[in-house]
Amino acid sequence: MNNVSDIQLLAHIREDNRLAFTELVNRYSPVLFRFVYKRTSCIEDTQDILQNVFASLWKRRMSVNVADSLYPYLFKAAKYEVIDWTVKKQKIIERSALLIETHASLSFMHSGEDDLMAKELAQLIEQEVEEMPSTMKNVFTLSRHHALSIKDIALQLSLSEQTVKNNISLAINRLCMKFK
Amino acid sequence: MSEHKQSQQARKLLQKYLDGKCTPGEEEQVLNWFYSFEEKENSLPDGITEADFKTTLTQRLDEELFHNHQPDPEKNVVILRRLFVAALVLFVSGIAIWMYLDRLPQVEDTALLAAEVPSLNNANQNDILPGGHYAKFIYADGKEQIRRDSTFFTFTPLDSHNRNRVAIEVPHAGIYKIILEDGTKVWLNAATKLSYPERFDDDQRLVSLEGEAYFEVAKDIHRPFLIDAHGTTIEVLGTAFNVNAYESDVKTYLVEGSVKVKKGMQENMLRPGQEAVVLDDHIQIAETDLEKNTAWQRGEFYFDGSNLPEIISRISHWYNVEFENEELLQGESTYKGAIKRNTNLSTALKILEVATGKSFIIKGRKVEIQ
Repeated sequence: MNNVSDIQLLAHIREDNRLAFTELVNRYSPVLFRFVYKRTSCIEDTQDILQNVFASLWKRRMSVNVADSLYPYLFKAAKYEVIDWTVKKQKIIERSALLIETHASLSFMHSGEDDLMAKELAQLIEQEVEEMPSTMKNVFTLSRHHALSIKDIALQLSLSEQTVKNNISLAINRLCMKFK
Repeated sequence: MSEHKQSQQARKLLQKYLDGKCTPGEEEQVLNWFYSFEEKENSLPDGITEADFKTTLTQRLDEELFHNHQPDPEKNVVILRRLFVAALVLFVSGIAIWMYLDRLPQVEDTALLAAEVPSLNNANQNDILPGGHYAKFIYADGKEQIRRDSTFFTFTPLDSHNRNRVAIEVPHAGIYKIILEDGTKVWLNAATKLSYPERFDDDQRLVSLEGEAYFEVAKDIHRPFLIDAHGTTIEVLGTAFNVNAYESDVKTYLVEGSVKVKKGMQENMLRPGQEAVVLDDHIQIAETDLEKNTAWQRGEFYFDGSNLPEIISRISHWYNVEFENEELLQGESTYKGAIKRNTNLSTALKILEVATGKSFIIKGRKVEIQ
């Protein structure tokens, strides 16, 4: 199930497969939780928002149109829920100065929303690496960030080369399943 | 402009965005605001783990989408939950507490833990979801309470003389964390019982344990913390350690501080990084692999190649399954590593397949080794 792509998962979800739906929730909820929590700073409300996002995906599973990954859909759904929450619940809107007309003339950015989302996603991925089991994290960091060979990593961490290989493929697997 | 007025103006723009009535310039402004939080601190608040909110979320979605039998599900529960949280926060004002409570059903529904679900893979008859937070509290007057939140805080007024004992039972496929009256934190693993008094005595803090628990004992030099496990006594002043007391060969793994292990006439002090294993009336002290022996408390299964029988028993506790043909698993494996416990059984077994070269097939609540 972990190796199943989003598209395949969605196909199973359309056949009312609840296990596939649970897998989808497990796959995306950590990253979406952080995405929303940064903006609400309230665990209870973040839970409510995520519940709305996933429940509406289930209800609209037949009509949702996804190219190759569900994350843009889910992030945008979460964005609407957060803005709705902000309008209804947040008495003093955080960073509201950015939304006031006089600032409109400042030229902020001309990158599209997808770029902004990708930038944030990259940061959230870092966090996922942080949360890996310790051996996996060490192996993965040495391999990707410090570009060490499998042999060097095995030496440095006193692990067998096979263990290092296993851990790297497990780590990539984890990230792929979360962000493919 | 006042903060309040500014927020009002901002609110109007956001509402316009939700209604789809923004000009391209306004839309850019909203997006710029929305993504300006990107650089904000990324970590979760203390005491909240990924597994906690995943479990809560899955349960709530399950309730909302698949069990429509509850007459008025969401609203009241949410309000009650908030009131309860508010009351707790007031009660311990000055201490920052992060907790969130799930609903507290009064029926026993351990069936929802490690539930059987359809398999996507033809090799297995079905798949099994991971276990979750669950504990049964049994009070001195015989009352029972089921809790499915992640953590329970014990509050006993300082002048209380109530020494009634409370028993907590965590079933197969369950896990639970409790913070005792003195601030000691106890993580209870699956198939575990802990009993403690609502208020500790003035000269000691005595609890008893069957199963496995990880302790972070609050320092109190006047009241040693004592754990009774199958007749073995573990005495502590303030420290972190794991006790595995599923069987009578009680094992203690010390992470920090110091503890004393007593059995019959013998007693031994442990240093951090050491383990004590009680065999009959004899205590064996040895260096220990803490990463391995406290993995469950970090939400991991840990394989080091030589602990296959232990992993099999941990998996059967957590997913509430039984293995068949266990004798086929002999010898050591070169595989070493950890996987998270909040994964489906089929995924955990896939790793075991790689490690052992055998295949594992799920049939209902049995796992057949071939």
